Amino acid sequence: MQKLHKEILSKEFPSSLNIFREHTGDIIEYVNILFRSAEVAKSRKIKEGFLYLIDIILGYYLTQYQFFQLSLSSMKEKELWNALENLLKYLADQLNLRTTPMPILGDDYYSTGSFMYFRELSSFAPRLKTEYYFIAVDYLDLPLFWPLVAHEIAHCWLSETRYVDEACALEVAQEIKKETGKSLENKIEEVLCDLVATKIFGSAYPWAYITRLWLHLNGKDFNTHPSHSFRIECMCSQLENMGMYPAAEKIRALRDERVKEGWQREVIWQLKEYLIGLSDEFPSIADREHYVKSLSIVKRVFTSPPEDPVLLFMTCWNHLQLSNLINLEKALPKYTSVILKVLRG
Amino acid sequence: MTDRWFLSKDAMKGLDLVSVCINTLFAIEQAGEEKKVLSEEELQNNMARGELLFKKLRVAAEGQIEKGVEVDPVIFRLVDELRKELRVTPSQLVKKLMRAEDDLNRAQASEETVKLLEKISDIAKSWTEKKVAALSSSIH
Repeated sequence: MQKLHKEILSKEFPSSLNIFREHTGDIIEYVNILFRSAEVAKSRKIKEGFLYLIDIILGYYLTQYQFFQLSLSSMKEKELWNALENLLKYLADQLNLRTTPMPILGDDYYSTGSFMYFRELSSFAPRLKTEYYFIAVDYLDLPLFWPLVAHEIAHCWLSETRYVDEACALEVAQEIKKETGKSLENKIEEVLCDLVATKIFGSAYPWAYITRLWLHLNGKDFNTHPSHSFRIECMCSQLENMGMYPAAEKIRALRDERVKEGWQREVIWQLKEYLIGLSDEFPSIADREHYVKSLSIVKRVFTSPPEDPVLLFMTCWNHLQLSNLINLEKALPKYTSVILKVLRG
Repeated sequence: MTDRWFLSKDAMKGLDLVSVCINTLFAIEQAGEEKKVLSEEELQNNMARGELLFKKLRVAAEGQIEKGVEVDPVIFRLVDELRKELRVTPSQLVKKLMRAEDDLNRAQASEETVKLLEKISDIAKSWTEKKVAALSSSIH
């Protein structure tokens, strides 16, 4: 560990990755404390407990170190990496997140990190001094799909709030949990993340979602995640609340064409109105004005793209919807170039 | 898409729970020592966090009797498993947890409180190591 720390200290990283360097120092400090405690503890059970903690903390750290390496290696794609870094900074600012997530050009969209949950229970463990997140996009996807990042950053944001606990405590939720015998926490969190993402990117998020998952929309494995049908229904209702009716109508129609099973088959369907109501308190970036403006500037998207990331993605997706798809192959690289140009600043 | 998030989140929660249990057990041991390694403040803080853990568990156990209690789902799961392991009813568990809470409030610990802490720690350990292993193996 000391060797690894020295290695990390000796290298230059972009400022957004420095937080991992600090975290490495914290881990070493904390593990030393745990070793000293294990040495002086008399009870075998307590000694084992401290050693277990060391083992699991190092195991988790080494896993996170692999994500750090992924982030470092994805820096080779400088243009993409910088654009993603800037997008994450923008979103973290908008959500008032404790820390800006570190970017990864990975194999899928996901988030991870080291963060506090039971804030009041946590000891003064140095492990917890430095909190951080990693957020990955699917490297093979075009940046046009990056509104999906908003769902991932929403997980980080929700971890700093009590919304998931509030929703899980609802009487209806507890009844459903009793009937099904399964925890609803992940399902509820997924829907809330979709709602946060829709409030950030407006129609661009559901468009990116339905397009990317088109082949999987009819999937049947929804043990831990809500059905796509239900998730799309929640996003569309949210779009309607934001005054983006035409987008909601189109997305619903596409969903109904593709998915046979009704959204009411989802076990948490009765929570829909409550969850959407809860999202009234979420930070809102996109609004009807963005939507109307994005439609009005659609034709100029490649020549004078908007600088606001939300407006940019909404305009790109509206452009894609309104253009005939015959020239799709030619249009796709144009979206990439315009998005990267704007996000690089 | 987000399994890695849930694995990380559960691992973090588990780690916090195990830390609290071990640190409280250590504080209990230290309280009986003449020469203490922990400062008085550290000792009290560890006891206070242990007490808070029991309070959270008690509120969750009460939530199995009354509805609408807002508790982290992991704490609910912990209470479920604890009840099964101890083979007690929710109200019996509430009483046990309340006794443990009172114990730590007085900076003391009966054998039952120590056993409870060990049991909670064992349950949280088994979850945590599974989550860390799953997260680790998810990286290709």
